[in-house]
Amino acid sequence: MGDDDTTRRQDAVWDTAWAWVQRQHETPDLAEPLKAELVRWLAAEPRHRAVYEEASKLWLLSGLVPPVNDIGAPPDPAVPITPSGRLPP
Amino acid sequence: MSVEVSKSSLTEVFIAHRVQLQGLARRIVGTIEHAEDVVQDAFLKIVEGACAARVDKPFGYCCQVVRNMALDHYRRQSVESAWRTYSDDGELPQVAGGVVPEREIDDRRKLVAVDRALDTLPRRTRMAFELYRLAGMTQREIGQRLDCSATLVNFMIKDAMLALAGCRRLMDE
Repeated sequence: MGDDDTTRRQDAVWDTAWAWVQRQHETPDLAEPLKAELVRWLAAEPRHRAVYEEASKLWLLSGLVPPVNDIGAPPDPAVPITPSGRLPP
Repeated sequence: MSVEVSKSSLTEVFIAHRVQLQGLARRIVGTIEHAEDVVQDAFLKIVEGACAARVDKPFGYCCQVVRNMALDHYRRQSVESAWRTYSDDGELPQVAGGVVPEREIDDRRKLVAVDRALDTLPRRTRMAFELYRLAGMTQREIGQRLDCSATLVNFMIKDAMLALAGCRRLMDE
């Protein structure tokens, strides 16, 4: 049925977006080839961008819930600041 | 055991440590201007205060919020600048920057929902996820900390990510 196909496609888009968000958590400075791949995927369809935004919002929220466990403070700084990694002013 | 922390004392702690928090943001986002944006957004999140009642360590929580807002800002900027290079019209759908009362309520509700989703997990799984998400540990380090295999950690993170993804529908609202 068309509906099943649509659901499968939508799940696939979500799974891809969610995987990207997780990847970026583990490596905030994505290597250029990977970053290019993400941008290509985002460029491919507006739906990809919308779902990536959804996934990003959810990921951010998961970082704003206080821990129930005693986990200690993360190392500081979180992102290695390299000349190529600096944001434009 | 959590000590009740009022929303106002959390905001007081934030304001009292503003310079330090801005320094933390700057080390992630690179410039004072971006850090200032991050600190303002983080302050608004604190004021929205969904989970304030459960905060053991107010300063630690302020750092957590600032750090995560900064990382989100960094990721967003780096993807969008690559995007703009790629495409002239390039703009990702924007998360609303301004504070609107309806959005405050939305965020509070969403935070509670995420907390509840994580609470469906076994204690150790939630611990693994918190070490991963909030403490910046690798899965290997988590395995060492929890004295279990890397494979088990991987499964626990996957379980947590699935539980979290269950909140996805809320993000549309």
